[in-house]
Amino acid sequence: MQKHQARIYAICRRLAGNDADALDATQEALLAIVKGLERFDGRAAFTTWSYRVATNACLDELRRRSRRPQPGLPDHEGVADEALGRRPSLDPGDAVTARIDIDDALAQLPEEFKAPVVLRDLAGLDYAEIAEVLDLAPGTVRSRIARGRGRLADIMAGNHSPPDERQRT
Amino acid sequence: MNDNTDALDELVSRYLDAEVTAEEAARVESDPELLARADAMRSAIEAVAALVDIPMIDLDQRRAIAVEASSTSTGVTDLSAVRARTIERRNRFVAVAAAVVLLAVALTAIQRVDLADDDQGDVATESTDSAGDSDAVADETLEMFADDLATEEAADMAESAAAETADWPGEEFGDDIALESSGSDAATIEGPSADVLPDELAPVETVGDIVDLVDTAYADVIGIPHRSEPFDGVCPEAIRLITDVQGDTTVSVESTIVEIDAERVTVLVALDAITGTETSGRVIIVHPIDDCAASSVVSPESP
Repeated sequence: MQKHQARIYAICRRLAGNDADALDATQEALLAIVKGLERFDGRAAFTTWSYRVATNACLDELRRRSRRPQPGLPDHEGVADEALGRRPSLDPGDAVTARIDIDDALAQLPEEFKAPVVLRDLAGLDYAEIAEVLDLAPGTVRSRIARGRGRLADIMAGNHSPPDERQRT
Repeated sequence: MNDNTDALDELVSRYLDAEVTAEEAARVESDPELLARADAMRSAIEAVAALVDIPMIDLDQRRAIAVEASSTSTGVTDLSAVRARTIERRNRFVAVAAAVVLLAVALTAIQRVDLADDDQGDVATESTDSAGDSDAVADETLEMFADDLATEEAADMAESAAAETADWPGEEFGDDIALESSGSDAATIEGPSADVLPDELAPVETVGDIVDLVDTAYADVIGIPHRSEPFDGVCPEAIRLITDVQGDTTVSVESTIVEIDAERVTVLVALDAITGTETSGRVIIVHPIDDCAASSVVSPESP
């Protein structure tokens, strides 16, 4: 459990948009996983199964709160993410700026796009695994990831207009 | 929503995930606008994937809270224990599947013998003798159960097992049934993968009885009937054989031993009370550990 908690927190953190909500959601996710261990039948990889339970628990918790994530400075500075450690560290100032930006951008993303994007780009799951985690068709996952990424790119570029207003040939 | 924009975004997104054909990749790479879109999406991806600060102290506390909250209701907190249980269940499942095949094949063989010769006792005895003749394959198989187990001793084991009393289906098999309960000192299975079915199965008279017994066995071992998800269809050949059996054949399986090693499952069964006669028989079946449908009878040889 300790081994997986950082990954689960990272997902909840991206979905929640702030540390406090992410911690609460992670606690709920860990509780759901522990309670669900009896039902884990080994047919799926434990990681995939735990992502499924955790993502659903995290989304449920955030829905219950029914409040928008509040972007802001991190509650815990300078603590390395050893579990995810597949990305080089940014300059601390750049990292904070980037996180505010991505938190803000993700907060504007509909949940149906946010979860697939986070599972793909943060957790590194492939389309099939995301489909299993979110109980969606692989084609739907592919489409939602594309639309989510496109929307994020627009938001981060300062273009908050709906996609259909962009001029494409 | 602009369908064309969505389609292009999906193309670019798949391009970034390397989920495109060579032709699609060439299209993206030859279009400056699509390349620019790819760069913008790549920036978004990198932002999402950027390091997340992990408040380990707080997280440890939350985990402790979660585990404590759950332990009162489930008592399960150790993943390694769950893994071990999963492996154990798989082994038991394979054992039960093997038993299903065994029972089905045994019944089929009995039925064939019944059709071929009116004197069932003689034929069944021949079957026993055939096993007792210890052809090389059968001997090798029996040695899996016991180093010095002679074929006659296997027959003795069946008789001893018949003398034992074990409630079926009320008594669980697996951990709760020691091999010694088979009544034979010669039958020694080493290693945690060995599993033993009950010494006595209640006589069954119809196909429905057999299927019910199998259901009960599955339910006792893994908690659900074999016809339930996700086990339905795991061994369709065995189920087909069972359901192909017609009529009112009465069979009592007096002793069944299943051994599982890294590559195969071996099943020894002693039969008794075939269609009301006082004959007995013995069947040894081997199948790959992951394919019970590929079962083959090594003793007695096919009629």
